[in-house]
Amino acid sequence: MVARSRWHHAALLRRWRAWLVTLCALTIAVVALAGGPPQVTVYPERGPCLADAATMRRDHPKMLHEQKHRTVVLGERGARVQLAQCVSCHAGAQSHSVVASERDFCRACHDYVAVKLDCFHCHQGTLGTQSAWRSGEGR
Amino acid sequence: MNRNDSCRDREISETDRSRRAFLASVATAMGAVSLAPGIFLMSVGHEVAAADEGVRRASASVRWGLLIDATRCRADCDACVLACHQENGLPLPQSSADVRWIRKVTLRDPKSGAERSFPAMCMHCAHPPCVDVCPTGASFKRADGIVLVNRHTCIGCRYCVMACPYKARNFVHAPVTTQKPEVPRGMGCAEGCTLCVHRVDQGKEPACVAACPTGALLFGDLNDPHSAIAQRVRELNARPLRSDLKLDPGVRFFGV
Amino acid sequence: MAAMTIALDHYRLSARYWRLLALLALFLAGGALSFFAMEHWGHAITGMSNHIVWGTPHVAAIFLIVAASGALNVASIASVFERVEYKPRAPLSVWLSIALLVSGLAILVLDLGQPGRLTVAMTHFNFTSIFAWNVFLYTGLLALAVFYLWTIYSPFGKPYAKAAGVAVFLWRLILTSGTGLIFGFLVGRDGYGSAMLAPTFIALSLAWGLALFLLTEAGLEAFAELVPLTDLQDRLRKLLIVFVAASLYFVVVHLMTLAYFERNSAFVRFLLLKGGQFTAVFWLGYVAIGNLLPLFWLLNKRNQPRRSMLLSSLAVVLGGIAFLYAFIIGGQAYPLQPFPGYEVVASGFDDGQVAAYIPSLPEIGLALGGFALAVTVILVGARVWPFVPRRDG
Ligand code: HEC
Ligand code: HEC
Ligand code: HEC
Repeated sequence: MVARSRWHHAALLRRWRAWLVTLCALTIAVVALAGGPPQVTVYPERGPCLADAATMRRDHPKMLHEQKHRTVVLGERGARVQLAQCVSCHAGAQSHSVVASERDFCRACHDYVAVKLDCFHCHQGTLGTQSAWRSGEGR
Repeated sequence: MNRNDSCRDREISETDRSRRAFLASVATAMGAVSLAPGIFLMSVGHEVAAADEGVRRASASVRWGLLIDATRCRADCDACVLACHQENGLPLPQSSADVRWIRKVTLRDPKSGAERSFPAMCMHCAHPPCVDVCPTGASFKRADGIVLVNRHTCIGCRYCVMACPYKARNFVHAPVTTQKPEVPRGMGCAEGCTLCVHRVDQGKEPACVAACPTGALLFGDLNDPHSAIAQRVRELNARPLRSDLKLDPGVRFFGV
Repeated sequence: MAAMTIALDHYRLSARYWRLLALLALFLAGGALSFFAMEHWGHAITGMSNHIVWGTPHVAAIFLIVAASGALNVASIASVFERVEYKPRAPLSVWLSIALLVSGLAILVLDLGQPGRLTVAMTHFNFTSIFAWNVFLYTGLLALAVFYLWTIYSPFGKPYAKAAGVAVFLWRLILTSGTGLIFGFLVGRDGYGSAMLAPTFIALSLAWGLALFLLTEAGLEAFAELVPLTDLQDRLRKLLIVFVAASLYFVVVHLMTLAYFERNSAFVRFLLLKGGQFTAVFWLGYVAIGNLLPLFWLLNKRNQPRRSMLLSSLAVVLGGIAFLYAFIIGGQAYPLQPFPGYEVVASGFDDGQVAAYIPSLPEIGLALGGFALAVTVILVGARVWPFVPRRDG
């Protein structure tokens, strides 16, 4: 009884390793074939991003997380990192949004990497509402 | 009350204290150069953050406040309420589950029978109970005295709504789709009047003040003895609501 | 007293066990459904509003958390006061406490506006908030209770048993004070804002917890088809009388404290006379069912002792829920007074008016789901570990 259960565990362990190797190989193959993340549409005519594409891909979560504290708590204004700015450059030409359709900038990539993006149920992800802040009007 | 005092003292670090003293003297000097009522320089309210050039931050040298003159407010007027809702993308309230950042009230003095009408909103207390009770620190007081909810760390427990004696905190009960880009807000968080922080930081007045047709609302820096609001508050001996609670609200009333 | 040895056991699996679990699963599913509905459509689908932000789920959650502290009574008597005859019941007492605390916390968390941000609540603390302290008090009690169970069961734990028992005892007194002070520190609301609420909640916890313990033990006995244990019946009955009377005393003193102050006296008048459903729930639910009925049953010697004790326990539990309903929801329905001394002629936010509240299906679903969770935890625990005291030989 004891011997048998030990054998059973060893087999499981061996099989578990095999599964892992297969999974890694498959992942590498898929990524290599697909050529990385989905092609997101960018609009260089609207201006350059805050940094080069590779840096942005890597650092945008950190940038945004840091800035939200600085803006909300410290009252920092005129910062380079602002969600409304991301939206104004990255909104899709048709949808005018970064999250409305599956091909929209933030959503396309986030769906692909399966990272939940829960900023736009508060922040406006769609252009259209004219922002008093950006137009600089006021009394 | 001791609880509040000690909590406030802890908030102010040593560096803050000296910077505050320095900025206060600068602000006073600048204020003395004279500013027309309702217009003020952004540099008064915002100090330059040394680390990041050109980036400004809320400064502890100012204390933003409102003066509400109920003797000038008309009972049939709700321009301030409409302006607030429009500015902040708040749908007009249909039920008690909807959000109000500002409301009009009309009161009668039972002794004299006299009626008074005025708007009420977050009082931006110096010792805010909503900040004391917030478990995560999401409810906080900015350096310049504006009491806000950091909706990135609010967990939606509603303890602040329970704690506010002015009924000024609300909870967002339903999904929101009407956000303005400069005023993000959404379901599941507590919120209240921000004193139009996004406008104030640009050197503008809150929307309610700008919309008031009778000049019953006055916005400015209570810390600056030469500001229009500080002078009027002194002149009228304007007082806060529920002064018995000793919360030192930044919103003062005359005629209530 | 006749010599009798008591052993601890798990009960045997039976068709009954699975049937009850299936029933509980139904309630748990109802709770889950309510949670997802509130998560999707928001709290707008509940009876809650910006006047009453803490509704029926809070009533259930706070009842469970307060009772969790009181459920430890029997363990404390055994360990702190060294009454060996209570020892066989200590494990069940501790496990019941864990079950109630976990379930109460589950309701609280699921009722948050942002339940997904639990990590934020666990990493950001504002120590002027009693809520932040409670996070530590609640998780601390759970940890201590688990440690205490270990000292009871493990031969290595024996030397620490007394220390663990004392620590649990002191911790739960602080915890219940902390729960009472959630309301005690609210200066703006006329029904709360009194330090009296700390001892009041402790007294209430003693009564509610003992009542739930008695019901749980009887339930498990019936469930495992055991002959009921009656060795301590008379003492537990007297204890319940003392606790019920003490809690009523504290509630009365709390209301008298409020009535003494001019502004708060209006709230007391509201609760006792003019509060509509809250007045009814307070008098009928809390005073009559929660206090008079059990006292009458327990003190009347002609009643069959076991039946009257269990019926009284049930009444105390119902009365406790009624008390919290009147206290938490009634306390919010009673209008805030931002403009003392004035009559409100018109208001854009119902100033000066008693707020309406009707418990909604999702709220009741969540609350019942929480109770079902407590029963499930007790049932599964008592199946896995030997918690059930039974007559041996
Ligand atoms: C519950 C609502 C809510 C959610 C969800 C939310 N925010 Fe915010 N955010 C706000 C509010 C309110 C402000 C303050 C705006 C102001 O004062 O101008 C803000 C400000 C910011 C700012 C600084 C101002 C700006 O326009 O950029 C950043 C950056 C930011 N949020 C990032 C995020 C990110 C990233 C997420 C998602 C992880 C997020 N927020 C999710 C409400 C929210
Ligand atoms: C002024 C316009 C502009 C603004 C503002 C802007 N971006 Fe960009 N962004 C671009 C352009 C153009 C590219 C493409 C750059 C390239 O391919 O080299 C880009 C690329 C990116 C990429 C890499 C996409 C990829 O995989 O190729 C990310 C991620 C990104 N931006 C995020 C952001 C975020 C987050 C913000 C807001 C903080 C923001 N951007 C603000 C214009 C902008
Ligand atoms: C090229 C792909 C890509 C694009 C485009 C992209 N993101 Fe991301 N984003 C990621 C990845 C991958 C992560 C997770 C990185 C990590 O965890 O280190 C991430 C993480 C984040 C996070 C942190 C999430 C969290 O829960 O902490 C935020 C906020 C965020 N992205 C916002 C945005 C916004 C806003 C846009 C659109 C302006 C955007 N992202 C566009 C790939 C992308």
